[in-house]
Amino acid sequence: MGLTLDRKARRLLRSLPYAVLTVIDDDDRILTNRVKIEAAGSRIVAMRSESAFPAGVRQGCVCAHWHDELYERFRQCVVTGEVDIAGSEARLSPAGVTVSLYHSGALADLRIGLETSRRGKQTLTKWGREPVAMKLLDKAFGG
Amino acid sequence: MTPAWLLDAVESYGTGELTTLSRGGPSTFPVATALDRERGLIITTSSVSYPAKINNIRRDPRIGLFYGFAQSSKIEEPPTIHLQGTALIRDESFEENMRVVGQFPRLVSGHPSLMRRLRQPRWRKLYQPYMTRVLIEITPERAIVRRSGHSSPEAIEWG
Repeated sequence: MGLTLDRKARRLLRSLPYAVLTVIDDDDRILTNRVKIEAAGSRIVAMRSESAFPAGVRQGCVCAHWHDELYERFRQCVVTGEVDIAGSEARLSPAGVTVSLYHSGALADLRIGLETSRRGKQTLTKWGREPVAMKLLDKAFGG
Repeated sequence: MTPAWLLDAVESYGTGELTTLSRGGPSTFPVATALDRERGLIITTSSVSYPAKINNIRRDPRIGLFYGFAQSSKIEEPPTIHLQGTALIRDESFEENMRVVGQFPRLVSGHPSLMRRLRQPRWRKLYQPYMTRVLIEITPERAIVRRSGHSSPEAIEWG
């Protein structure tokens, strides 16, 4: 059961200097703290938190990311799953993972444009909506 | 109403980590945010190409928003801030949303090379769904703040 993290996700988690872990606390509130990822294996992500999390086993999400000042480059890895917390240590067993890597360039922008076009049209069809008017985009970006 | 000093600290950051609640538990992704100081709201957007957080908020409006990525802050040694509150999806008019986003440069100042490509009609047509966005208006209700030099965080509630 559970998910096996591939090498790309494991490498990202180990290399990104900034990460946060989110769980739901005992008062049913969303609680997020900064964590240091100490190890990222195929089935476990081990973290240490600078602030206390409630002890026990609960659903959680770790989000590790980095971007440059103008968002021309970014890297992010988000892993959801069951988190076992004891003191300042947390161990997450992955159930879902999303990896996003972006480095600005024509090919990357074309790939993302095609993907977002497909996904966006799918959503709009489901919602019975039309996209934002082209004339507004022409006015905003037409130069 | 959110305390003014807290709004100043939030405004110093360009990026936060937004948590919404999926059926399986919390889901956290980085977002660019801007402050609507007049209304005491934090604004972010989501493209219809990535509807998960939109659907999550519609199902359960509770959110968390964490600010701690110091590289995105304009001040030295910014406090880390975790906000708990609720979010509202504004999708009545995508055109109105575009107009609102234009009022917050923080939300549109990135990706200069992509912005240059969008000067060409073919790229605008390709990115039309991506640029179709809902607004997410966040009302913070409680904050957990850790200031530099303080060993313990403080929890603040208002309203």
